[in-house]
Amino acid sequence: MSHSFFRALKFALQDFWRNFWLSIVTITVLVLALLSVNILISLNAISATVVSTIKDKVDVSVFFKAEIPQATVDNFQEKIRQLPEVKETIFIAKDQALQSFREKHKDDPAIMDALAEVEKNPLLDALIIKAKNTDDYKKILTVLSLSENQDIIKYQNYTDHERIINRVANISDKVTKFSLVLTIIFAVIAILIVFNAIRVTIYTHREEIAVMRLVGASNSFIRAPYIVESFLYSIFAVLIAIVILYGIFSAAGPYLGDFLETYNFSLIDYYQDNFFMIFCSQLAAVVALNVISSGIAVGKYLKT
Amino acid sequence: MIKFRNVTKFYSPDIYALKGVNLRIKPGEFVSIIGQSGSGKTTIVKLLTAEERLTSGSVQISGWDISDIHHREVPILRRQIGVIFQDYKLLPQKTVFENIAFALEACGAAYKKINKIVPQILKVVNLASKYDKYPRQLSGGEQQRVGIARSLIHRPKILVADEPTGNLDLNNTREIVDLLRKINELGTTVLLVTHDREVVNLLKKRVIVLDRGQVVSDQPVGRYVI
Repeated sequence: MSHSFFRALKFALQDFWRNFWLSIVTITVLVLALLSVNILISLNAISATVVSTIKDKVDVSVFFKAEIPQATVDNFQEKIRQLPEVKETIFIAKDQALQSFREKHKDDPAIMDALAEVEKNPLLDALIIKAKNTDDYKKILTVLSLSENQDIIKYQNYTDHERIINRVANISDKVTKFSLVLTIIFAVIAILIVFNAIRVTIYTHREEIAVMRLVGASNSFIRAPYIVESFLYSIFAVLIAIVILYGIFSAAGPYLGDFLETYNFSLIDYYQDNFFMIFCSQLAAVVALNVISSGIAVGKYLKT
Repeated sequence: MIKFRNVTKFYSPDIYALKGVNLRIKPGEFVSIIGQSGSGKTTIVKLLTAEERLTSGSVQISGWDISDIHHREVPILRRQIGVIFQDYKLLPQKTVFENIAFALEACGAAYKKINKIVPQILKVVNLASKYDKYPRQLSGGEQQRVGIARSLIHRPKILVADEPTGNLDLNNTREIVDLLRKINELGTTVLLVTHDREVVNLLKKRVIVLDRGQVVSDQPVGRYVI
């Protein structure tokens, strides 16, 4: 078994080296296919981050009537927090809100003067509610509109938010669907390109395959080196694609930086965090595709 | 050794290559099969190497009926018959040594055995000094000698030569014929398919003449008489 494997490896390395330009062309095609897939992965990651950041900025703020006791507010917060759709609730006391307001507008004398004119704190206790998903806001809004809750709520800012929430949910849904369609299209194109590249490579060896058969080589003996060789193509292609991608990300970093920093996102960090998942799955996919393609392509010339 | 019993080969219902061919070739014989283009010479070679399947009849090699050989047994059959081709059929990306060694590697021979046998066979065909050359660096005659060396590497009992001198000049042709004669003298049955008058007349061995897929003449010591 190991004897046959080393012999197949020897033939594969010989063929790889002695058909150097053919190997280079095949690897180049694989690298280009991998680069297209990775550019799509990058775009998906960026769009997912942008959508997620926008979603994260969406919330519903509830302002309580001034006379409502703290215990009622606490009970209300606990009740809302218990809802399965709610991700988190943040209570902002009116004193805290006033302090933040003063801090924010300390350089604006008009606002500061107006605030001084009003003797007591004009702000209200507030509860900020964040949902797990944008779709969940509808359910939360339904709960808030119950009369028992409306009794303690003075004012709520979700009327405008509802429109934005729906828009974000709509955009997010469209981006997801578009990415899925684009991913399928790219995957099909990449598969066809890789399959064709391997098929052409094997086609150039068809006469050799015929000679091998005539001198008594078994089908598995003929097939094995080509499969090992396609495995080598895959490894080299993935390694080269990694180097090129990191080069592109480093070069494009300063240009993308301003845009992506707003969202606290870096492509290099994204690829480093998901390195094994991204490249191991790509290596597995390319190896599987190449091995199957070469197996089929060689098989065509092995029929008696 | 080789028996063709009432062998017929049709490529399509109206195109036939062999029609009711009966042949018996004894061990150690040197037989030339001659005939014009399309007479069925190459079909005989292809039936012997299982490149083609016969339509009816039977073909036996050393008692093994290969008429309906399973595709998995084809490599085993081909390792028992040495075949030489008009176009040499060498692997262009392998050196002389590797081309010959490949036939042994294909049947799982150990490197120790390969490194011992290949140089010996290279000496027999007088190519020991060119072991590291690629086919494109050799003359036609030298390439054919590599082909012969490869066909002999398994020490086959039967050597089938399909137009081995078709692409060679007179000097190289004589060299190849001498080599085939020596191989035959060492006990290997040689089946030479040719349309080269010079070669057949030089050999003075058994000659079978094919015409339109049928045996029309079989002489123990024949001459080229088409």
